[in-house]
Amino acid sequence: MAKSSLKTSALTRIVPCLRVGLAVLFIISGASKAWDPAAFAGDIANYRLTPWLVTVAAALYLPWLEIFAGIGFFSRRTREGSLFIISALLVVFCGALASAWWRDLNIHCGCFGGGGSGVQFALVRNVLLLMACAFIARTQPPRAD
Amino acid sequence: MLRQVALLMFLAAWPALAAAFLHPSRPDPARVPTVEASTVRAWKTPFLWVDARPRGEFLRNGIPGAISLPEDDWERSIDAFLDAWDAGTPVVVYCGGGDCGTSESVARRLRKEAGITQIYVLKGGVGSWRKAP
Repeated sequence: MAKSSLKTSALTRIVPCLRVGLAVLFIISGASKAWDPAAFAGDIANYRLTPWLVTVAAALYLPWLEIFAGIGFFSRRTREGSLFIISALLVVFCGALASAWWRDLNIHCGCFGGGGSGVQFALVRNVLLLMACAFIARTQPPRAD
Repeated sequence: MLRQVALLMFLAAWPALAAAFLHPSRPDPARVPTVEASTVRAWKTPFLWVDARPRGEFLRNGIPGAISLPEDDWERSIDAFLDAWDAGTPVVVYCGGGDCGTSESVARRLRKEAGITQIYVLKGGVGSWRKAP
């Protein structure tokens, strides 16, 4: 009984910390890309996955989606939606990074605007973030509407 | 939850739309993306070089394997390009260097007329390729 309550108490502390960490990370990442969408479009183009028109649309929209998904973590009303969007974005980013790694592209990940880290490091980091999302999703109680 | 996702996506669309028209550093959909010489050097998959300079310059110091496609000789050169290009292969267009607009112009035309989606302009032109590590 005591062991179980200790576990619950640890979880109640870890989950909000993870949530805030993810929110801040995505707000900063989104803001740095939204600051210079032309540079971010160049970073996306380096992956050689999408036509330029799609790249431009993604460079304009994704940063703001990251920012709003990050902000959404701070409200109970949008927390689940934020977690879903951030997880989906991480899956897409992981796919793009894995594909770049597979094709041996010597590029910066473009994760925080203005270049960013290398592909392998970014892939490992995103997998860890995805695991954090899965952990939050498993532990958060369903919202009573 | 889907309602929350839709709401957040909807909210994000507005500043993105504003950025598309008002941001001083917005990407231009009409432009062709540029690529660094060092990035191209690391490509392991096949790609095709296109030299946008006049043919004389191409013959003097073109990149080996490149196809010459100067704008003033487009009609004659495009067939050679189409013979050499396999659909889906990325194309990198270069010119003399710096801010020469020839490569951008040739790249745009190739994208429009040949429907090439993976097309890039080499940043810094042929000089940057020679200097790239």
